[in-house]
Amino acid sequence: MNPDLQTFLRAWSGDSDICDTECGRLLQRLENDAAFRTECGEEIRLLGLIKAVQTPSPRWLDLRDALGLSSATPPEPEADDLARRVFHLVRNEPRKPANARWLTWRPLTAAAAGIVFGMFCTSMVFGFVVQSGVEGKTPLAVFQPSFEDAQMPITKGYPYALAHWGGDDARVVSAENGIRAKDGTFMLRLEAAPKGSPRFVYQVLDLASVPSSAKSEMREIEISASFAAVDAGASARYMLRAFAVSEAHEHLDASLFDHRGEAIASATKGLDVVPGSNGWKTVSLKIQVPPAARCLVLFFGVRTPNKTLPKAAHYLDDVQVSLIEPQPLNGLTLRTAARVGG
Amino acid sequence: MNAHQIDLTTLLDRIERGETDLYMEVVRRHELMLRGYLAGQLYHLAEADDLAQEVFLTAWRDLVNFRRDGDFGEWLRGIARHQVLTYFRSQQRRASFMERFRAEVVRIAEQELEAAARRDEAGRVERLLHCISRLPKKLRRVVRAGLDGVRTDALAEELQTTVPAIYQLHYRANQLLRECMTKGSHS
Repeated sequence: MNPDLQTFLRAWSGDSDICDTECGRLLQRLENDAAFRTECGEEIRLLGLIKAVQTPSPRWLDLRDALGLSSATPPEPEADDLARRVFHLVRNEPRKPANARWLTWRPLTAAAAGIVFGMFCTSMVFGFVVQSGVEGKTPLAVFQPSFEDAQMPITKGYPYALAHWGGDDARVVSAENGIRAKDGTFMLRLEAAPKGSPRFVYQVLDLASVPSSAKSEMREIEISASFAAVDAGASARYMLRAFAVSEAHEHLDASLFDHRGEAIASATKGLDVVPGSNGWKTVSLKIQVPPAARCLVLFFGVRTPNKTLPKAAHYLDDVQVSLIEPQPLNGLTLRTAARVGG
Repeated sequence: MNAHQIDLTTLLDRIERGETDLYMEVVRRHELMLRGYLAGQLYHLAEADDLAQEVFLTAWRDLVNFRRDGDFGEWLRGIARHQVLTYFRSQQRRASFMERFRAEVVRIAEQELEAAARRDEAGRVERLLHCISRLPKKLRRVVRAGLDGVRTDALAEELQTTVPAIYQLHYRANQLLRECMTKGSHS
C-alpha cells in the first residue's frame, strides 16, 4: 500500500495528529498527482458504500411529506430494512415492497440471514432471535434522569461539570399542553427552535462509576430516553448520541464539538416520528466502550425537519443508562456465542 | 405490474403525470448509490442521510428539468455535489481539522469521486453486502468496526496489532471487496 495513501486514509478517518503535520502535503499531492487522486477517490467511494450497505435505509419522512404520502403506512422499522436487504441477497429475488409485514417473517429472515452469512451479521441476528432479558443490565447513575427537581439549573451550552445538564433552551416543567411526565411529576421541555434547528441537551457521565469487574474489557452501554411532542402535526426526529472519550471530565469543554470525530467510540440513533403520532416515544442505543474511555458524553435531541411548519416544544423524560452484562448461555457468554458463529 | 418492474423512463413519465407515490421506487433504486456517495464524503452517516433526503427532494422538485436520455444517477450526484459543498461551507466556522481536510479533498478530487461512482451500477453495489460477508473474519471485523464507532487505536488494541496495520487490513479488505464485486457483475 502506497504510504501516502495510508497517511491519507488516516487523515480522512479523523487522525488529527497526522493532519497536524501531513494534511497540507497530502492536499498538495492530491492537487498535482492524478493517479493519487484516482486511488484516493476509489477508496473514499468504497468506504462510503460500505457504510451505506451495512446500515438501514432512512425513512424519508420529509420526502414522504412532500409527496403527500404521510398518511400512508410508514416504512418498517430500521432493523427490518437491513434484514430485508440481507434476505433479499439470500434469495436473490427482487425486494419486497416497503410495507411488508415485519412481524410475520422476522424470525425466518433472521434465521436465513444468519445461516447463509454466518458471522458477518451475527450480532444483528442475535438481536432478532434472542429473547430480551437474556442480557443483564446494571443501571448506571445519571444525574436527574427524570428531572424531578423543578429548580434544577440547566447550563446554557456544554455542562461545566459532572452532575449537570447543559444544552439549548430547556426547562423543567410539570404536566402541560396535554403532556404528563412519563416518569414522576416533572419532565424537561426543549423549547422550539427556529428553522428546524436541532435542539440538544447534554450530560457527561464519569465511567469511574462503572463496576470495576468490567473495566478490563470492551463494555457495552445502553442509553435510552423518552420523547413527546405538543403538536404531533409535524414529523420530528428524536436523536441520541453518545461519545466515549479518553479525557477526564475536567478536561472536557465545549470544544468537544469540534473534536467529536476524535472520540474513541461513538454511536448515534434517531427515531423518526410521523405526524399524528401521540404519546411518549422511547429511543435507545448501545455503544461499545473501550477500556480507555473515561467519560461518556450523552446528547439527547430533537429536530423538526419541515422548516415551514410552526415550531412546537418537545419533552424529554426517563433517561436511563445501563451496563449490559452478557449472561451465561450453555457455558458460553452471549458475546462469545456470537463470535463462535463466524 | 409492480413498480420495481417498470423502467426508469416510464416511471418518471408516470410520476410527472401525477403518480407521485412511484417516486419512492425511484428513491429505492438509487438510494444505496447516493447514500454511499454522500457517506464517503461526510464523516457522520446521519448527516449523509439527511443530505440524501435533501437531494431526493430537490430532484423531485426539478424532475421536469431532467433530460430523459441522461443518466439519472449522475444527475442526482450533481445535485449531491452541490449540497455537500454548501454543507461544508455552512460548517466552516466550527469545522474540525478532519472536516476541513475532507472539504478540501472533496473539492480537489471531485471528478475522480464522480468517476468512481459512475462505475458502480446498481447490482454491483447491492452485491457489496454479500462480498463483505465473504471476507475473512478479521477483515470483516475491521470493515465493521468503523460502523460501530470503534476508533482505530481501540480496534488495534482489540486485534493486538498496530494502527498502521489496521489501515493495511482495511485496504486489503477493500481490494478483496472490489474483486468480489467485479466478479459478481461479470457472472
